[in-house]
Amino acid sequence: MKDELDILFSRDESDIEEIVENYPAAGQQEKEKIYDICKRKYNKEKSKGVEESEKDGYIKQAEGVEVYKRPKLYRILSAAAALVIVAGGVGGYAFMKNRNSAEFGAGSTETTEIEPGVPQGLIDELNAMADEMLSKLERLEGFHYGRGVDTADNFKGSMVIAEGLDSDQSREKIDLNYCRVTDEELDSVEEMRAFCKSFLVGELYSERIIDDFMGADADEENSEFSRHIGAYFIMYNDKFYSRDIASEEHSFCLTEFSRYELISSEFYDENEEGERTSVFGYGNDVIKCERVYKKSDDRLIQINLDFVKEDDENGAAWKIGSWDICEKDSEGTVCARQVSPNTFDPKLIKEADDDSEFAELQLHEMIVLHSDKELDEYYDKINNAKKEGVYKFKKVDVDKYVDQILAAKNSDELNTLENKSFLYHIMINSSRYFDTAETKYVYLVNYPENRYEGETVVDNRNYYSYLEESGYYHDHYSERLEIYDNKDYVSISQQYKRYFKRELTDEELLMMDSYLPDNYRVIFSDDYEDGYTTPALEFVDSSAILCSHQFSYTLLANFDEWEIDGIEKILDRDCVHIFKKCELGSTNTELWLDIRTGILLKGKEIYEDSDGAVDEFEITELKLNEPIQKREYDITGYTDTSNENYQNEMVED
Amino acid sequence: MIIMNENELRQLLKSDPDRGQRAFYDKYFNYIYTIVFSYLKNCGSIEDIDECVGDVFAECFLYFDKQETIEGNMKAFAASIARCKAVDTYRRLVRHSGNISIEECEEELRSDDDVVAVSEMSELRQILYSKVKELGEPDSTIIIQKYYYGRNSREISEIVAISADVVRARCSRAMKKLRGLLEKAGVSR
Repeated sequence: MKDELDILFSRDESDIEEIVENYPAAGQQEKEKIYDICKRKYNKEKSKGVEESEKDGYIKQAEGVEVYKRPKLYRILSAAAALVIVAGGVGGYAFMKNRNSAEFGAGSTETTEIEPGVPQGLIDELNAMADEMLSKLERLEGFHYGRGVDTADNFKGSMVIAEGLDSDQSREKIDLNYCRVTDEELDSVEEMRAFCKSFLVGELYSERIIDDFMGADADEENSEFSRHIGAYFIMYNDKFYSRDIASEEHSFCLTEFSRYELISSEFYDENEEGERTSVFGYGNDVIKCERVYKKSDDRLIQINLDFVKEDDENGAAWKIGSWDICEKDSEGTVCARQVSPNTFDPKLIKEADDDSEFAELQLHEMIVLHSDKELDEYYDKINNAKKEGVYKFKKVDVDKYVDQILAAKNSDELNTLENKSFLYHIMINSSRYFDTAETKYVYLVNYPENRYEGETVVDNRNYYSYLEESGYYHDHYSERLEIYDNKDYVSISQQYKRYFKRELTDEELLMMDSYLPDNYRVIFSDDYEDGYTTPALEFVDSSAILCSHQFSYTLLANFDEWEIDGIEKILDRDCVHIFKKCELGSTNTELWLDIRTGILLKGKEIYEDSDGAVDEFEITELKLNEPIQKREYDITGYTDTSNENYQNEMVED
Repeated sequence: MIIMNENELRQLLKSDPDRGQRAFYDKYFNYIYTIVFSYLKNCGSIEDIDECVGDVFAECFLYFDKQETIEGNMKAFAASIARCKAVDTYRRLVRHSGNISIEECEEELRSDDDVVAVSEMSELRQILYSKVKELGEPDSTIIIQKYYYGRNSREISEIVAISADVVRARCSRAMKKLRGLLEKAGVSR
């Protein structure tokens, strides 16, 4: 069938017209990406001969840099393409974005006329904008460090904070002090809000100025106050108070810009590798700025700002979207750091408690975001946390949960949130719960004659996996091998006698090993016209699936869609039988998970609207935690396609 | 996105080049992309194709800038630039050092040389297109994206705005259905 469909492809004008008229040639993201490429090329040609901007008091931008901001989807997929199919435990990470892409790249369609050289006028304009906003930020922060307030007119309270983004464990009590604001221009909620609105995005101040806190004790026991914990400004008995952060432990003020000497100021964008590029201007959605100041004690203050466009009643305006300020000593060591409330700070994340034998099981919660912007931001945060190894993995008490599941007397006892959270945990962290495995498996696709078989050898502790598959899939015969051996990856197509080989980068290895808590693995979005809430981001760091990527990691992420049907034995292992009804596509799924390792021993996909057609997968042999031998393979005479783009094709095959 | 006719486009390109360029891009993106793709499918990566399509439109825009009035068939003009650029890119990618004419290159790119076979193939293709269309959306788009443009499920999922898992499932079922439709139409392996 695939061969027959190859004839779909034709260069005849009439065929091209037929295809063009009826089908999109590319997704909206790719279309917008190409438009960016086109405009870049166009602007570059157009501005040829324009002299580069001259330095004038500030460090100049890198110039003439090829700017090509690829959408993240492509960035991550290209990394994931090689990794997502990795056999058990070697892991990898994948990123999936399903979106209604109508808004994608809306900002990028505007003209950017500053490439490749950057007009000095624009640099001046941006510096003036940065000066103004930082001056306002200094004024705002000053209220928390004794400026514009009467420290004698104060009230005290306390609040309890949890260490970590999502934990209600490790609670810490913080004493608070609020001082009355004496600056007449900004001594009311309305004035302060208007002031903040003039240079900060809404999320930086909307929850932090409270106007309905009247006549109550500001203590943790007071529910009204608790609701506003951390408020920076509060209306209290008709007076406007500012939180006196200077009096709090570990506080430091790094925003006295008027007292520092400006050393450098740079505006930039970032490419897909996070490298700085020279593009900036009012056609972008974000302008990044880095400034370095020198204090009188010769320490340096480095501030990184994101300026973003935000719509208000006056139209779109540039505002500070986030800041990250570091104080560094002469050796470059960071002595202090202050970040905007919306900036992700890995230090705030709770690490696993090393004193206890087991980690606490994270009860499942779905994180649902509402826009592409939120998804992008969330992705950056989580991905950075993963890169920085913020979270440490520790096993949960498997025996405890296995006993609990096996002892369940009925469906209700079986389907508790705790049991389901455990099964989700062990499935998505499977590779951390066994050392080695050798398997043989069979995959039956819903064409009667379509079947392929395979075997895997996995050593999770030594980053080794070997996968060998052969058979028919969609009537297309393939024979392939895929081997990860530490840094080395090779994918071999035996029927085409070609191979793709490469070394994994340090970052890829780091990402494979890095852990994310269960609830951050799959992020949902409800930003769809059809009203569905669907998985939108997927972070994979271990594979419960020893062979096939047909059974996705997102399968169990929505707990409303599945339930434990019972306990069974497969290959002498205790398994849970899970039934999942999927509304989208009317595909029902049945899974049989090994409770102690999370290995998927058997899976079925049943297509209700295709006469009950079934795709079925089953592990037929399993050896666990026995010494393994690395498999030999011979690619003599095979074509090396490592410099070509066969990688995705082979993976997809 | 407003679809304009060529006259409106010509006027807009002169009165408001930014908006005109975007409108031109929206109008002819599918067409240009598919032409470029047809030349580079076997030798270029997606990035090569994207770059080449970008080149085509950039050249069109530069050309429009230089004209006091824009005349002629814009679609044919864009197609001819697309073919030239695609051949250039093809040359670069296959690293032929000598000069190759467009005709030679086209000849090399085309493998259809038997007139009867070409005619039969064309007929078969028309049946296929019509049967693929019969599948209905999003299945027909999924099939075209997978087997014409060679995209994988995740890439297709972005185009049809459903998850990659569902794309895989639908693709599998659509293929089965297509096989039935073709058999009914007398087309079989």
